Amino acid sequence: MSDTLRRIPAVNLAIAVGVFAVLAVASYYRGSFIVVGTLVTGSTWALMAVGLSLVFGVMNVLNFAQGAFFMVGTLTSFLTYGWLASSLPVLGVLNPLLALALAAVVGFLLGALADVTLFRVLRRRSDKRWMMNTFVLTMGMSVVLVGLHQLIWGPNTKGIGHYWSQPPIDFLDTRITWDQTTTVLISLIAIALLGIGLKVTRLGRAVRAVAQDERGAQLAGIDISRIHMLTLGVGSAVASLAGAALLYQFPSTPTVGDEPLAIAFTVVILAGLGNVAGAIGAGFVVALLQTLSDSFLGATWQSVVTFALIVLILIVRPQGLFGRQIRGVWEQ
Amino acid sequence: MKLAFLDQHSTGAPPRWALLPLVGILAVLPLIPPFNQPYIVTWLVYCVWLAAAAVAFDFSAGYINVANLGFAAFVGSGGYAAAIVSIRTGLSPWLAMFVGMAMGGLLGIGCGVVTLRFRGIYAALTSWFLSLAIMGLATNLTDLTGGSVGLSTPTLFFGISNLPYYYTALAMLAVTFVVLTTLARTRIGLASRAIGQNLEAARASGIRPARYRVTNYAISCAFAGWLGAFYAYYFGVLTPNVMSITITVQVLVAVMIGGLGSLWGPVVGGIVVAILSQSLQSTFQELPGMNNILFGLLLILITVVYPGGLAKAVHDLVAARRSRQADRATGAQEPEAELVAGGKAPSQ
Repeated sequence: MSDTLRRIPAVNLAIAVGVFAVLAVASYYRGSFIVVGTLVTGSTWALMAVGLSLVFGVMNVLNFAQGAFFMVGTLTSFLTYGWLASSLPVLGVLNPLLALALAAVVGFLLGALADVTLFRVLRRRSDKRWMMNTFVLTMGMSVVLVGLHQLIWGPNTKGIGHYWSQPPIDFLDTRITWDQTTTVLISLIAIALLGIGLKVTRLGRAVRAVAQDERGAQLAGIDISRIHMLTLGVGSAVASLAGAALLYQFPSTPTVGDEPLAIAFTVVILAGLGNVAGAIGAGFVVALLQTLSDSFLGATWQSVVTFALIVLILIVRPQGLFGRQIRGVWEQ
Repeated sequence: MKLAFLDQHSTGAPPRWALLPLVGILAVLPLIPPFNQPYIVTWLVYCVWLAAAAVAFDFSAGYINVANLGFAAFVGSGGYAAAIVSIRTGLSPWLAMFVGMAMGGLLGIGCGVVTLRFRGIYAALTSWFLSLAIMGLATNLTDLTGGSVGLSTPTLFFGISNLPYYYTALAMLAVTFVVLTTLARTRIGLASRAIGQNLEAARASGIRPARYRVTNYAISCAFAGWLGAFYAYYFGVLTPNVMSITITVQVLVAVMIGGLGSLWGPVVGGIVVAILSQSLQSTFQELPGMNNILFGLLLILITVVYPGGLAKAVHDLVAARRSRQADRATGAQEPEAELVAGGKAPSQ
């Protein structure tokens, strides 16, 4: 982490200034909703990407099921919130928070279960082509989860208008709903907690040790299987939480996670694979690109512009916007 | 070209005669009673098509070690190019299929120059991002592609039987397989394989990685475009959904089942995946989603239990038999002596 901090001045400052300049110009012409939109989606993408990046850094796994866990989050939250709102309306504001918490817990359990039942077995079997094999494995997980949703809850959209019914706040000339505010807050709090946990706690230090040198960590007496289980659990939990937080914007369907998955991957690649801290900045950059192309060219052009621009950025900076914190892992 | 570091077992391209029995079976299969029912012939067309696509995919994934996650976008653009040309100019679909091939190849060069600046998984993911951009383009250029409503395309044959399509697809599979296995033996194939196994060593041996990587990628994409054109003419309708990751996943699974880098494994894998996905879909029509669950579980099972795929199983079998024969033979040292004599033996 200290390495990242030391690198901040040069490139990162330039990127931050650039982002703010674009934001200022765009909101001058279009209105400050661009700032709000960027903050809301950006913080959620950052949350998803942090999970993806963590799993990659520690386990060397590119988690294609991240989108499916996003879907699990939307579904869990929809079901829980619906049940709570009808049977326990007395809880009031607590209801959405409970739904979000349960979504994260379900995501964690599913991720941890996948590690124990699948990745652990594969790891014992072979290390050859580990990355390709695990990538296909997560694809399989994703297909199964999507199929389960389709089978049990059907393909129709399951959404809610909003979690919080309080009137929106007027900020400059834009109305900010409570859902938007809480989404930003929840994402940022989750990322901050994760960052502090990784930096300060003993367990977090163990996780970082495994990311840097698995064998060395093992020699130092760290229980690697436990760290792996925890990592995949947390990585899935944050995806699930992101899905739950954005339920009002992404009503739950079996394939609701497809777009967030692609976006999370672009964020992670843009940040440099395994660079957890950089994923936050890159999340906002991607969200800004999306919001701008949405506002200036219309929603249908969004994917073309966003993905083309991201590839363009990668041509200029192949190492990602912020460089790689963990070197050499991805070249295997 | 001397590439001493190459894994000797995998260097030799597969013996093409080994697939002759399979081709023979496939040629007569739709004529034999239980398989000559129309719906089975429809399945078989897709089987053969997916097998050919898997071979094309494997030429990049197994050789230069870049799993082209945007594969479906090249299939789709080939299909669109062929369909649009034959609609606008009235060109015969048979010739327009090669327009699709050219489109796939050119797009492959264009995208390859961009994505192959990166290595391994980075290249795979940037291919995916580009394919999403291409899919977005296909949705937006409504004048040309009909947008998300789709484009209705001319068909190759008239009449209701799918048999002519089946034999066309089979011929395309044969051509794809023969061309790619032949290429695998040439300088391009050798260089690609060397790059995929060890890029630095390949560069040190005088191979220019950039050039061969783009060539390999473009060839794979050209075949994707060609097969995409058949796809368009076979189904008679083309929507941007062709370019979604579904086909890529199926092809990737086929290659994983068959064994990466063997070219013949994906033929078998493609047939298996196509049969599975279609039979599951029709068996569980009342239970939507069930086919996905079983397909995914199978995928997980194969990856976890036997990651090497069919090709590795066969390779291990052959290796075991060879070592048993070598044990029995008295002059067990001979092959190694030959190897040393062929290479540069140390003078001292």
